[in-house]
Amino acid sequence: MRRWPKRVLWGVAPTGPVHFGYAPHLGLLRIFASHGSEIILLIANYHGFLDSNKTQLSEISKKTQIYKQTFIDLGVPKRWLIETNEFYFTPTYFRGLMEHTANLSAEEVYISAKTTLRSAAASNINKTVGDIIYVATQIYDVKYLDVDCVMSGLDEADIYRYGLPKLSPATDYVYLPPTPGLLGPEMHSCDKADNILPLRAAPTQIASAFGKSDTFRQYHCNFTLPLLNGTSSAFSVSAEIALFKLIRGQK
Amino acid sequence: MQTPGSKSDLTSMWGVAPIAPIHLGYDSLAVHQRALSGRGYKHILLMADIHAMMSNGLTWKDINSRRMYYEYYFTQICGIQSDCIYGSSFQTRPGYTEDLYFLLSQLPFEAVRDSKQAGDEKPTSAWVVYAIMQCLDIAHIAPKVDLIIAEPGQKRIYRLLDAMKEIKTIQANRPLIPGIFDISPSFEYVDYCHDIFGRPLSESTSNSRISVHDSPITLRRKISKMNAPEKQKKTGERINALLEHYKNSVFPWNPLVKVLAAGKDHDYTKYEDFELDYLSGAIHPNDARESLFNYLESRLREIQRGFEKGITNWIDLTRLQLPSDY
Repeated sequence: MRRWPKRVLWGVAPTGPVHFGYAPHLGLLRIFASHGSEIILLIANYHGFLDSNKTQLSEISKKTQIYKQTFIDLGVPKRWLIETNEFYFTPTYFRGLMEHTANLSAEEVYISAKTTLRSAAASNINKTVGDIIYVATQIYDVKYLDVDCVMSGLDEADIYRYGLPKLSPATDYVYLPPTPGLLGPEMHSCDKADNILPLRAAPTQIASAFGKSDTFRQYHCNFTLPLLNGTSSAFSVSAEIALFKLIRGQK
Repeated sequence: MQTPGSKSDLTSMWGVAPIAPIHLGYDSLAVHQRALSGRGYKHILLMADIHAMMSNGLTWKDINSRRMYYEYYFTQICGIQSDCIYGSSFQTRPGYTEDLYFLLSQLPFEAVRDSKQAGDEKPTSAWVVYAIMQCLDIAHIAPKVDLIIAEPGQKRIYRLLDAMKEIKTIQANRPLIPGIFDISPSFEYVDYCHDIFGRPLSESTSNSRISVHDSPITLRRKISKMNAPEKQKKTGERINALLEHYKNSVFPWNPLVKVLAAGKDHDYTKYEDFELDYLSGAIHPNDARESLFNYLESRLREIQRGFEKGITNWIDLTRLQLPSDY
C-alpha cells in the first residue's frame, strides 16, 4: 500500500492576489493532512522579492499578511503557515544554503527556472544574482524544512527535477497543471485583474467565472473536483458550491 | 597621544579562506601584514570560513578545524598583530543576510560573472554569492575599513563595489545597508610567492610549492629542483624562485642571514645586498641552495613544533611529502 508522506511542503510567493489557481493545491493539502501528513504551507515572501522584485521589499510584510489572513479565513490551520523570513536569516539556514549552493551550477539553476522567473519571461528585465539564489533557496528549503514530499505547479517542476536529486534523502513530488485563467491559458498572481478569480470567491462568482471561460469550468469540473473527491460524480451539489466547500475544507 | 585622523584610527583587513594545508606562498602576504602595525594600522584578519565552505564543497565540520589552524599559523606563528574575526560570526547575522539578499536582487548577473577568473565561465551558484559577500564583508566587519590587502586576482571581485555603487541611484531610499554605498577603501595588492619552478602559484601543485609541513628530505629535494638561473632574476617567464624564497621566506624572518660561498661566510641584513652579490656571481646558486635549505629547514621545524596537537589532525601529512619518483 502506498505510504502517505510525513511532511508535505507547498510554497507560494505573495506577489499578487490569492487566486483560484491555488484551489487544487489547497484541496490536496487537506487530503494529505487527513491521512496524517504534516503540512507546511510556506509563504515564500522573499522569493517574490528575489525574483526581479515581483514584490518590492517594502511590500513584503503587507502582502505576507494578506496571504496568511486569506488562508486562515479559508480554514487553514495556523500551524501550517510558515514565512521564509522566519528562517532565511538564521545562521543555520544561511550556512546550509551556502554549503548547498556549492553543488549548483548558476547557469543550470537559471535554466531550470525559465518558466517561472520574471527575468526569463521579460526581455526588458535584467537577470540578477537574485534569480539564481531564489531558485537555490527553493531547492534548499526542501532539505531545511525536512519534508519528504513537495508540491508545486507544473511550471516549477523543472526546478525540482533539477534540484531534488541533489538533496538527500530522496523527496517525493506532486506537480499540478496550471489553472486556466478567465481570459488566458493560465492564471497567475501577476496577471491583470480580469484574468483572475480570487480564491475566496463566493459560489456566485465561481459560477460567473464558469460562464466566462469554459476552459476554466472544464478544468475544475474535470480535474480539480475529481482530484479532491476521488471521483467525478462524488459531489451532490453544484460544482461551484462543491469547490467553494472544498477550498474551505467543508464537507 | 593619538590624534583624530592619525594612522592609529585606520583599519586594514586581509581575508583568507581556510581550505588547504599552508605553504610558503603566503609569505609575501604575511610579511606585508606584519609591517602594517608599524604603519599604524589596526589590522583585521578575516577568517572567511563560510567562503571556504562555499568554494570547495567542504562541510562545516571540515572548516572548523581548518580555521583554527589558519588563525594559529598567521597570528601565533607568523606574528601578524591582528584581530582575527571569523566570517560566520557576522555573516550569519540577520542584518548581513538581509543586506545580502537585497544586493543579490539588484546586481546584474553579468556583472558578477565578469568578476570571475577568466577561463571559468560556468560559476556555481555559490560562487556568485561568494563574490558579493566578499565586498559586503567590508561594510560589516568593522565600522570602517580603510585598507584592503589582497592578491591581484581579487581585483575582479572588488570591481563589484562599483556595480554596488550604481545601485545607490535607484534605491537611494532603501533604509538598509547604512554606508555600504560609500565604501571606498584603498587597496594594496600583493602577489603570492611563486612555486619552486618560478611559476605563478595558481599553476602550482603540492609537489611544486613548499608546505610548512614538508619533511627535511622533501624540502631538500624541492630546493634542489628550484628554478635558480645563475646571475639572473628570471628565465623567460619563470622567475628565479631561489631569490624569491630568500626575499620572502628567509630575510623577513631572520635578522642576519649567512650564506657560505666559496668557503667564505657572507653576512647580510638586507635582501637587496644578497641579491646584488647573487647577480654579480659572487654567490653561486648551489651555495645559495644549501643555505636556503638550512634556513627553511630550521624555520619549518619551528613551525611544526609550534602547531598544537590536534590542530593538524585533518591533514594527511604523508600525502604532502614529495613522491620518490617525482
